[in-house]
Amino acid sequence: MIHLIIATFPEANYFIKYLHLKKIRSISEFNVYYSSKFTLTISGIGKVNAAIAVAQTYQEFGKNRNNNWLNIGIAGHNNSKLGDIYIINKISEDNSDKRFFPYSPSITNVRNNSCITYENENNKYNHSLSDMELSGFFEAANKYSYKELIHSIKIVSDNKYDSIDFKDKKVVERLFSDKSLIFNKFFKIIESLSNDAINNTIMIDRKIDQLIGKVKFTSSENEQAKKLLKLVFLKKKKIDYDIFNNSNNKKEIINQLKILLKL
Amino acid sequence: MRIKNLYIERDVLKEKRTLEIQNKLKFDDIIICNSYQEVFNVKNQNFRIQKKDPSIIIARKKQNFLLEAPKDFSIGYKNNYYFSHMLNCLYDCRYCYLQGMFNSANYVIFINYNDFLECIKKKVESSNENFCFFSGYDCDSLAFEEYTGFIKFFLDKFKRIKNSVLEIRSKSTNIKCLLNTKPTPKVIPAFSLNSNEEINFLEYKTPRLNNRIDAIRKLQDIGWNVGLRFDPFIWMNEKRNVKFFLRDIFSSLNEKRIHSVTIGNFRMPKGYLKRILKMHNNDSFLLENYLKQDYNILKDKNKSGQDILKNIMSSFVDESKIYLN
Repeated sequence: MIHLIIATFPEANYFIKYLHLKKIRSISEFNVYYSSKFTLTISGIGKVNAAIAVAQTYQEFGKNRNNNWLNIGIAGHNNSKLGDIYIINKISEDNSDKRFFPYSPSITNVRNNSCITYENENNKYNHSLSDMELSGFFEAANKYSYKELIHSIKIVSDNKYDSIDFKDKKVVERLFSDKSLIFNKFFKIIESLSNDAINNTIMIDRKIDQLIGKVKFTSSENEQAKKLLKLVFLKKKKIDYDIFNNSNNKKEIINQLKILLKL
Repeated sequence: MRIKNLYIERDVLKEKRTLEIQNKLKFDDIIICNSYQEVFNVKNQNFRIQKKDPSIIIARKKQNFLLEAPKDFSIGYKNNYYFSHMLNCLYDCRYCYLQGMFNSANYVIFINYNDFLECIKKKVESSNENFCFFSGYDCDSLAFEEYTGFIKFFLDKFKRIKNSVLEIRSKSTNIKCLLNTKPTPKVIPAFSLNSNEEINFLEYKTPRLNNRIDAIRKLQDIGWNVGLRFDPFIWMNEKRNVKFFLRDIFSSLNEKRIHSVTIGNFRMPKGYLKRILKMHNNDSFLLENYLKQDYNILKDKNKSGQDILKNIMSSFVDESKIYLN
């Protein structure tokens, strides 16, 4: 699952349409959208809102740890052209010593840059990007997921000399739709990263649960039996499944598994 | 060498050694940090993802330059200390405790080599007893030498320190810096050895056994006394005979130029093992050893295994050179 946290509707609108997301009407605190692979939460402006939006999304979508989290938004920069796109590799806060270092996966022709999160709107342009959400987003998401699965992409909306018309929703939306190929690539990259993080032993785990479910183990026996069975399957040892059909055999099952594994 | 990002502590940005390392590497970006710990030590990082595409952090070590080696860790000297100019290793050994010890798989290079040297000098001057200093405890001493130049810096200077030897432990065949230096009995290049079967299964990205043997032989040929480290010695195929494996190794080497042989087992604090199992939840080797620890059978089995191995090994090399670690 990839959770997108985006500050405003005009910034989010392209993704809602492109990813065919549906709105969840029952949530009143935020506008939340979803599909089978994506969720999108419109957080509102500011780092506190971004952090709360992460927590709300985590709660709403099954409290699953180690999902992908992605903050997308517009940002200011000293002299980058309007529409330039960056992957963020360092986050600092304007008013504190907090610093975060996202993993920042590489995409050809997309530069990396740092981003400073400010409390209030301002005209302090510098060589870092400027936004108002990212540090709050990152710190909150890192409670629920590995640092390597939390990302941010920013598109330059204003610089020292020029700015888009923030009131024109279509102009804001176009900043994102113009970069659709990059977003597409990025989604694929971060999905494969999370597959690397979670080693899949689903089939073995299911088989183990089925066998263990037949016997009323105590919780410590349950843990032991699970680990022993896992090793039996990983080592491809032949096992007599009949022993699991008699639930009085608890100790005998564990003993037989230990003998089979020479433990 | 291509790495993901190069993180550099602000204080060492302009240091000569930082610039030298920087010039030898290819990377996506330079990212400045205040301390290596804010990148390396933070919680909730994924070691496995980082291991696939690691970054390097260049930093200055500020304290704990020398640490006392565990009690059983010895090659015959009274005082044993280890130090690490680097954290983490180029290789990816399944049994490596670094995965359980560190939050990050990124490499940290401490560039203040002189501070390590000064600490060693002070330690030696404080006593008349002999000392052994182990390099390569939290990294591989030779694998990164091309970039760090640490051994090159240390070799000549270490020769002048009295009552002490330096062990450089490695799996690497990158021995250029040793071949270009006049051999000295005060420095012991030491190579970790296992059979190719175990190397394939457990020591990912490491050189093959015959390449390690070739490297040892080359060093012996020019006069280096080399240490052989079967630590951890892992033997998975019970049908094969350990004797033949050892005979192949020792027949290729000059016995007189073997400084010492150590035998050690797979050993790891249970907390580390649990943590690593979470990353490799389908790894039978780790799970088996975790269960053996759980049932308290690892220690006894290891002890008898070490004794048997020492017995076999003593037919190839003088027993006084063999140490159980």
